Amino acid sequence: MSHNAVRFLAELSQDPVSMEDYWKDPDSFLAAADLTAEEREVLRSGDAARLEGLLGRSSPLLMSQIHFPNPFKRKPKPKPKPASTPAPAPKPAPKPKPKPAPKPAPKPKPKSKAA
Amino acid sequence: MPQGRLNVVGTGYLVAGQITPQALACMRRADKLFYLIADPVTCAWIEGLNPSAESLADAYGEDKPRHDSYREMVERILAPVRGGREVCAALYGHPGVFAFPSHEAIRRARSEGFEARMLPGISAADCLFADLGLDPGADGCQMYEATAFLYRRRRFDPVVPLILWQVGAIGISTCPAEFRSTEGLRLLVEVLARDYPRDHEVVVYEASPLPVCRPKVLRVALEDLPAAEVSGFSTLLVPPRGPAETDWEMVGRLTPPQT
Repeated sequence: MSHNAVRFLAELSQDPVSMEDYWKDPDSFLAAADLTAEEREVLRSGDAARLEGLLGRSSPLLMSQIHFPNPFKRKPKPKPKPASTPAPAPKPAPKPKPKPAPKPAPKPKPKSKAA
Repeated sequence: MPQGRLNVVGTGYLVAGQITPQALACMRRADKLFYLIADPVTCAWIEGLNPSAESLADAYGEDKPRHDSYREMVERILAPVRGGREVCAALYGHPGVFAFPSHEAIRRARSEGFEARMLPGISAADCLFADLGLDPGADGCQMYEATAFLYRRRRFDPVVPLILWQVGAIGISTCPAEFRSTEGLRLLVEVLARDYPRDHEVVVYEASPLPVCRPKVLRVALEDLPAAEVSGFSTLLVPPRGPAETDWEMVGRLTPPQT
């Protein structure tokens, strides 16, 4: 990659009006630039592979990584707690104990006869 | 010993064309300039800007977890700060958008008592808004990292534009030479198809890295996404499936009384 190619691209990138002029007539624009014939041809092509060959390879250097969890280290889910502890059910009123059946009245003792 | 200082700046996506004057000044005056730039032309231009320039790209490794690379970058950035120097770290795009090393370097520098700041830059989303004519103020905008969107079951609104970052790297935790996550894209289609028709048009977008290249704008049906040319540079735009509903009662409450 020549210093002239770098300077050409850097200067062109800073002037949007020149960029529009480039797209209107790229051949004339490139002809006026201080570049080699090969550089003009490759830049004119816009072909990604050829540009890579001339300028070097771009690499998507990702600068962010989400912490991806390890599925083999998955923590077991905790048992769900009940939403609220329900109030204990009221104890049923104790059933009244049945009254014992009344004892039968004792039979009157028979009166003894006088002599 | 002079007090060290850290400035973190962004270089945008178009060689020198999207660098703010503030960022340029920091890069020029730094005692030590680090850079993390995706394209070789911008790298060459930066090296001509400041003779102390040093790339951080060699911190990546084919099978090396990206988080290890980020920690190494942070240590390399902080070393000259601790030595009392004015340091500038230049990252592509916006230095604070999907960029862990920048935020971490600033956090650590401040915790050690050094001045540290981040200057805003032009992110991939900003380029997308301009190139696709999308106004995030019109219908809103929701953005997620693509892998996290899947495994965190993000709740989203299908009538609001949806932007998914790092869509070419679904499930990839290293930094390989080639990014290709076909299975990840299939899973993404499976999830999105619950809320969008399978023939819903989505846009694979890549900002132009050079002034002699147009931005990549690839419009495909959702179901065709796994077969589309999606790279590590790609961002996915899922347009709304339809208009949002209007709450007429709320409209009434927001409308000033007629006089």
